[in-house]
Amino acid sequence: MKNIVKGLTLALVIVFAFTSCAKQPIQQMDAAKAAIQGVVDAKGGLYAKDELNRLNGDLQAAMDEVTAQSKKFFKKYGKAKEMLAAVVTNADAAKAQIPGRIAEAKAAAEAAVGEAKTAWDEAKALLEKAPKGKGTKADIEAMKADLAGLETAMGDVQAALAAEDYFGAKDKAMVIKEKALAIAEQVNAAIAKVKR
Amino acid sequence: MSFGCQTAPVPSEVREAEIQEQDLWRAGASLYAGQDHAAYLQLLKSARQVLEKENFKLGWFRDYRRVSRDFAAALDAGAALKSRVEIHKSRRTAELSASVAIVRGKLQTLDNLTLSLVERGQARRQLTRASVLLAETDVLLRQARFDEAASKLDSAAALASEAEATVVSYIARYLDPGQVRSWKRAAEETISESRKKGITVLIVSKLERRLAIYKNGAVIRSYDVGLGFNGLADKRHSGDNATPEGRYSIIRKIPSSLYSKALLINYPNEEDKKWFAQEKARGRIPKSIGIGGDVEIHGGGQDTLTRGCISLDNDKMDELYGLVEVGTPVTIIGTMELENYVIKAIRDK
Repeated sequence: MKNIVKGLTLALVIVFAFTSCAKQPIQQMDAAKAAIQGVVDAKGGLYAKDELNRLNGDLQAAMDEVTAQSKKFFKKYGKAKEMLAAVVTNADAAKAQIPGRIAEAKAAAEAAVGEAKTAWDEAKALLEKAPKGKGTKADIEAMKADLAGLETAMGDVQAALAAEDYFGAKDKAMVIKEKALAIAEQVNAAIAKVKR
Repeated sequence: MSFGCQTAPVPSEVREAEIQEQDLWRAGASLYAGQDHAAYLQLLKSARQVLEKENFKLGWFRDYRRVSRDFAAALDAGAALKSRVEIHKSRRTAELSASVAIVRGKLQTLDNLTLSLVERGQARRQLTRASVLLAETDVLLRQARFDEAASKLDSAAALASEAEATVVSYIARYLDPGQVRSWKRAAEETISESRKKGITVLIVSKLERRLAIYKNGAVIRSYDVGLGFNGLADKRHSGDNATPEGRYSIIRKIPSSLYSKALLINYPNEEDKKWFAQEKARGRIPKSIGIGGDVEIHGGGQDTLTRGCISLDNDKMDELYGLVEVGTPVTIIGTMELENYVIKAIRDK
């Protein structure tokens, strides 16, 4: 009798073991997808591109493992669960890095904007020193219009900053700075012509 | 002897394939060669499955030769894919660069035009904004961000078209054949008068910024001139900074003025006064605004802007002063050329 009970118990344990391993790790799959979505929502597409790519690759590999196991008679999802858990861990790690990267990008954009504004202000100050009114040179008047055009472009930079498009804001600010410096050079040359 | 303690090293191709996979993703393989990229990934996946199978075995029984072959095949496929992606990117870069060059050329033409026309307002601002966008396009192209570059280029091109429309509107009169014929007639009649009477006359062409001296109907001198801040417009009233158009004459020679020598002309003439009175009566000119006057031809430099006067370099003014008298006819027109340089520039850009 004891042996029958032991045998039945063992059989039950074996069936239980295979049954519990036989369930697809739905919860873990959902958690992994949610973790990756969290990275995307935190602007990972911009600030953690490489990590996001790897995470998507790892998730795909884990899903492939789940699919492969689901086709077997004796399903073992242990490895898939490990892979999915790793996706969650790595996604959380990637997400944790994003705020720091955003702060860096923001700081770089703000620095570029500051430099562009300084260059613009200097060009404007120079133009204000240039001869005004009748007798002024036509090219100096053209530069005033150019500087007004740059001022409008600076507005676009502010809009990019407000939309947290820090890379775009930095690129635009750097272009504006170069153009403002070029105008300042031209103004100096034009003023020198007037003095002659 | 210890079984399974010494395992064969994983082939280097495995790590190389990992690096290549990332490189291909960064190079945009899925964007530029989607199907080929999917096939490559499938090849890589199969190779990894083979690797996994070997890794399940005890170390003593592992044989990575097939793994090495499969990963090598994936690496070869990856290299070929990379090559196709680079070709596609080169093609895309070349196409976009050609479009950038066209827009850049248009901006350059408009830049030169606005400078020569002394357009100091909206068109120049639009051109500056367009040039900022074009510079951003260059940056994006260098980073192979083609879709963003194409979008910026579209915006730059749109602004360039707006600037062109502004310029055309600014000089609409100069593109009107009827107006140009009218100016040409006025100039030809003045030249004919010079020929018939054997006198010296001056013809000022505002678009070309030229003052020509005719004697006996033939050009004896011509000079570059500066005009008013709003010089290309026809003077209508005081303070509009426009240079008047019409038939005038020198009424006073001023040997020393603020701008070297000067020649005062009789603006407003009868036609100007008649037109001004009509516009006042229609309420188109405010009551407080006068018709203006004191329009001169003077020195100070041909590259200066005036309140409506015509300015020359001092040495040229000295020369002109000696060649004219009180009573010398001065005809100021927009242009004599139907095919003037503005039309050519806008048509040929």
